[in-house]
Amino acid sequence: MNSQDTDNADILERVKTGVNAFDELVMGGLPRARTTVVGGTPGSGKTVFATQFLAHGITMYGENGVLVTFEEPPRDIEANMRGFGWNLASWRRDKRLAFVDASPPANDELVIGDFDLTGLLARIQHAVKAVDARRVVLDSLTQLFDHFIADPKILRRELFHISSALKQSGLTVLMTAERNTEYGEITRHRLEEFVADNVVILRNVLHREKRRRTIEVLKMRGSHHAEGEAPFTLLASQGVVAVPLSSLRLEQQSSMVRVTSGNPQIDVMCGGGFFRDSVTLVSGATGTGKTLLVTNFLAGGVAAGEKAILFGYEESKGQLYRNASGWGVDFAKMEAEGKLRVICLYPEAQSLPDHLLMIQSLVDEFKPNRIAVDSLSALERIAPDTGFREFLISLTSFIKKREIAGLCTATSKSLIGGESASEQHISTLTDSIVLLRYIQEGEIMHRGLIVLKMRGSEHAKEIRRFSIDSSGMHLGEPFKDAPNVFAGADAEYT
Amino acid sequence: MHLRKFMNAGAWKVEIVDVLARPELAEQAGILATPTLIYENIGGRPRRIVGDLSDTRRVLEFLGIEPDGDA
Repeated sequence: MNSQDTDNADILERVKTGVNAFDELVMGGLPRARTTVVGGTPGSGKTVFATQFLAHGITMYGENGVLVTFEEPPRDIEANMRGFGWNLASWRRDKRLAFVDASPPANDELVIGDFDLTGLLARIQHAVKAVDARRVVLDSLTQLFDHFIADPKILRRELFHISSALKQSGLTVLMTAERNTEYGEITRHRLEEFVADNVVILRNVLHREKRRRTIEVLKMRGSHHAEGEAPFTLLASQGVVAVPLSSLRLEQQSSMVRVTSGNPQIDVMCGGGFFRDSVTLVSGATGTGKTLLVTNFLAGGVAAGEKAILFGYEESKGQLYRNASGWGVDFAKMEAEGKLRVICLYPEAQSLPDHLLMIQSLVDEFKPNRIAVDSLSALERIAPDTGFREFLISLTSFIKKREIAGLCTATSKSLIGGESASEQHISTLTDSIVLLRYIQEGEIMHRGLIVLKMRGSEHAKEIRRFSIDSSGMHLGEPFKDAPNVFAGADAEYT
Repeated sequence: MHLRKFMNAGAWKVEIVDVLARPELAEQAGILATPTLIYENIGGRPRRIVGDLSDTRRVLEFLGIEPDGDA
């Protein structure tokens, strides 16, 4: 399509956006001296993403920028972006950032006859020269089109001209454009066909009363890129934070080091304990002892000289402390000694990507040796299906990458047997699965524990009865008659 | 080229600015498109016409100028 591309035989130089997970999607950054169109519906985060591209250029990579604004005057943008921690006004004074104010003029204006956008191009080039810019953002093209609504043909020709001229000066250009719908034509007026080497789409989809933001690289001329939508979130003081979808790489090492589950009998069943960088799922109905296993897991780690962190989404800190002391474990003391951190939060307090980022940042700050999440089922209720799966993938691979031991719980729906929805997702993602079940034997309801799966290790296959008292969990004899732990109480056999 | 017609036809002063040579003036005036005719009439609101002014009748109409009859 574009004759300038053909001479670019060598590897494209990359311009980092500074949004780490996004740079990963595009193999290191946006190609230098190319034009990228960022499309999105109103409110999808285009302006933030575009401004961030300039802000990171200035603060992290020593590349100055020019912001061409067609919508809001520079003063408004400076005020709006302050919330993300970007002081555009000070960069402007330091000659690291220049504005081209192309917001609509107050004058009466009429178009008569043919015209071009040399005026705009001259102003951009003037600004580029003034601050020695390497990055240029035009926000948004749709506004420019609406300004000259009657002459779309001229505008396409002129935009192509501007884009080529800026590229020839070695500038990396990012243009935003509005979309009417989340799924449909790429941008209003189909701008991308004329100017874009690359197309990135930001989405803000409403699904089951939840907003879900995603970023997708649709096209990247002459370069490989990851496909599909990746979740992201907008954080105050940071801007766009893409959530790394670790499915891109399965490179975490697998260690053979065993760590205790916190219960010596379960360690024996697992062939010597959990693996250090593995994720174990504990699944069971309410009241079967999941939180007890979590408590043991944390206490066992702390007793072995490790640091542990707990993310609780079902019970308050006070409740967790009381539970633990009921089983002879003193959480308050451990936390005071800096061995343990307990974070309790309502799942509804924030979106799933925000939860993930919070877990990641707290883990990187506290540097624990083991982490427990109680429970995944509580988190699942706030997220659409795909969002939850992405969350699980990201969480489990994050835990493995940090080489820490993870324990997650899931609540099964029915009291006897049955499987939880999270189980279906997580069973393939976790390395080990421990099931806790109510099991009826004659007139008595027992509790049973099974190690269902233990990746890379032998494990006990029997269903063990267990009891809970003030010193914790005690495993008893295996059940004689194998009850079907997967079937619900009233399930029919076929 | 169409402008020349108007330049000679009335009692007004025309200043021509080359945006490539004086981009800072284009910045001040907020020019996007070229050519842009900025018409400043004392007492009236400033008006702008973008384009090559090929339609004389519409230009005069927009600026509120009575045609001489020979246009």
